[in-house]
Amino acid sequence: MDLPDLSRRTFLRRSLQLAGAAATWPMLGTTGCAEDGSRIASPGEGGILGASARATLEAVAETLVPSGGPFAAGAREVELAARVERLVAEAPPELQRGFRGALLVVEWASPLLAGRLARFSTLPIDQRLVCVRALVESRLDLAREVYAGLKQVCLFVFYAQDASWSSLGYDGPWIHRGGAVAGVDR
Amino acid sequence: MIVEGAEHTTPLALRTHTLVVGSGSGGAVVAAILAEAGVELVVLEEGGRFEAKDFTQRDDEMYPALYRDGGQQTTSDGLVNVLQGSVLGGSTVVNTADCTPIPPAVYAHWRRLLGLTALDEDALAPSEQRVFASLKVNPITPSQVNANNAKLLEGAHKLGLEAGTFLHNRVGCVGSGYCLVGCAYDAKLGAHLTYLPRAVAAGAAVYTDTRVERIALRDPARADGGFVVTGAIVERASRVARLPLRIEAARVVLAAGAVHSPAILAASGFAAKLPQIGRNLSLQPQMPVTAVFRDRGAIVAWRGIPQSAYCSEFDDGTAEHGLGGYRLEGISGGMSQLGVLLPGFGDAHKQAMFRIDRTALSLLLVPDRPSGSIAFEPVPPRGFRVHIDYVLQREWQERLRRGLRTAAEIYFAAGAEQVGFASEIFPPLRSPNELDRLEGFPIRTGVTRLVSAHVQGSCRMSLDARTGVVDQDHRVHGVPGLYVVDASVMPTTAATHTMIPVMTLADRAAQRMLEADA
Repeated sequence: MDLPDLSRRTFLRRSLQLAGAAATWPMLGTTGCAEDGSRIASPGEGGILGASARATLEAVAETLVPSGGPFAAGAREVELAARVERLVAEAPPELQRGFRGALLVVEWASPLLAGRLARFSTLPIDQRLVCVRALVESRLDLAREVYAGLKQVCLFVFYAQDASWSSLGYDGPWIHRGGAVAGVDR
Repeated sequence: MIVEGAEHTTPLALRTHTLVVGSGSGGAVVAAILAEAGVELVVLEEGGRFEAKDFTQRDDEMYPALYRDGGQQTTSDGLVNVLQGSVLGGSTVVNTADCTPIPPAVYAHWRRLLGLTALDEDALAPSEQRVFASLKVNPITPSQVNANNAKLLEGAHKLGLEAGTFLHNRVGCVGSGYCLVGCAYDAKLGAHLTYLPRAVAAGAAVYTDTRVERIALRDPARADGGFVVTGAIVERASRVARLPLRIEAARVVLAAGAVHSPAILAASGFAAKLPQIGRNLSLQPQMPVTAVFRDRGAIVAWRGIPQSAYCSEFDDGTAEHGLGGYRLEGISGGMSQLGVLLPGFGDAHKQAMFRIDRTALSLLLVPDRPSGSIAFEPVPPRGFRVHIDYVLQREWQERLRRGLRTAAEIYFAAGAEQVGFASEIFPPLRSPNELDRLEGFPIRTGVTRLVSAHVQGSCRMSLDARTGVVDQDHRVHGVPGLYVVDASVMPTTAATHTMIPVMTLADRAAQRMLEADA
């Protein structure tokens, strides 16, 4: 895995843009989608992360979008980490490197910012929340940008899934691919 | 004729009289007018061709397909998300369809700032009228204002503030709410449904999935000898170069937008004699504002016209500074965009999303002064990586904070229980008693979310090459036959929405080309 040089702020800044860009990278386009709109590989299929980075991503996803609460669906239920990894796999190499760098920042630096000597992915959810909060409130631009990028990609992908829509009152697209326009006289 | 990139099995080599680079609000207008006048013409568009049947109304499919960088283009510091359409028809396919002409104060400012005496409301009136007719511009009716936008109007009117509804270029709107990801009903009359069909009917050849990377003089010893334009036919999704293209043209009209037009000019070596290329960029950043009301289901913001209402009480346009002040405009989007927009994470964010059907949303628009620049680096086989460097001026930040206060006052007047802002660290206001907290509103990378959909400048119009890039007829200074006709020519921010200003200037530019040809 490529370790980011923490002194190279420009690179790391781009890492964050990566995380955001990965959310909607063009390879996600309208081709290659299954009939039901699902387009995610199983974990490991088409993956670009090693086991450690994948564990970090899963922990990040489940911290940003936990299961339960006001509605049941969370990162775990929609396999959010696998979806995000699949997205990033389609991004240019420099963005993939940046994404891995962002995960490293979360895994190793966010606990330090929160005063904890442990890896992010090994912490219980309540302490992971503290670590993410430490990123948000950090004086380091990099830390905040890591948070913003990972939040962007995770939430964009999560709310693109219909698992939460009915709970939010959203009835989904009016047009279904290959189907008729619902309720519209054209 | 419209030829899509996938149809090519061999490199593209053409010779034409006029090449238009870009098919958005600038390029499409020029293409239609010149083609209808009998000019042999080719249009190149880097984005793909999408029609009503292709718009799936899903953010995760449409943002990658229709927006530059999948909608994730940002300033170099990540602070401002710079949205641009990248599709046949450009941003007119994905915009909010608001039709706002250039105000007289802006023309006056341009005269005062740069001596642009050829541009004024009287001279541009015929062009503006033609554009309005082509787009079938009409008023948004009261019945088309959804509950989200109505809350903005209600609060503004209760406070006695000037507010109203936009003119737009929709006809037969069904209120699906998916304007930002392409209208599946062909109700929004963007360039892909108006000017481009006219151009094609008049004989123009349009090539999608084609990226221009360099414009060179055909004969380096002669500035007026025409051009050789090179680039690539690209893969639709990845934008990776697939086959080379080479086009010879007597005239090139660059209309690739305020980010990529300067990049193409600079990559072509013109910056040595035109030092203003890539400078004087305006972004007109906007900040999302949210207001939570009491009753579930009271505000289904994602249905109906996303942006129909505005509060213009604090518009401040003058000849001295051009557009100033601030304004509020209603807004909505798909669930993915809303999920990203709302601050917070974890259970708190899920709670906020759970309240989305009683949450009103708007954008606080704060016109800026030119303070940004564009740089680029080649990244073959993907063309350019563009860097948008931009600094928020202190005066702009002060106006933003005043605007946030006004937004909160409006929504509390409309009955909101709390008013929030696009900040990860600034808690929502829960009563008007907390308004003073906004004086310390933090604007920081990573915790503040700003959006720009009106990027302008970067090849500004001027009287000479020292102060700008193009003259008042859009001709690049010192390069006969090379024109720029897009939002990049705006000396300062032209209006609160850019489609009509760009189309109006493009209409005039095309008329001037025809006069010169004659």
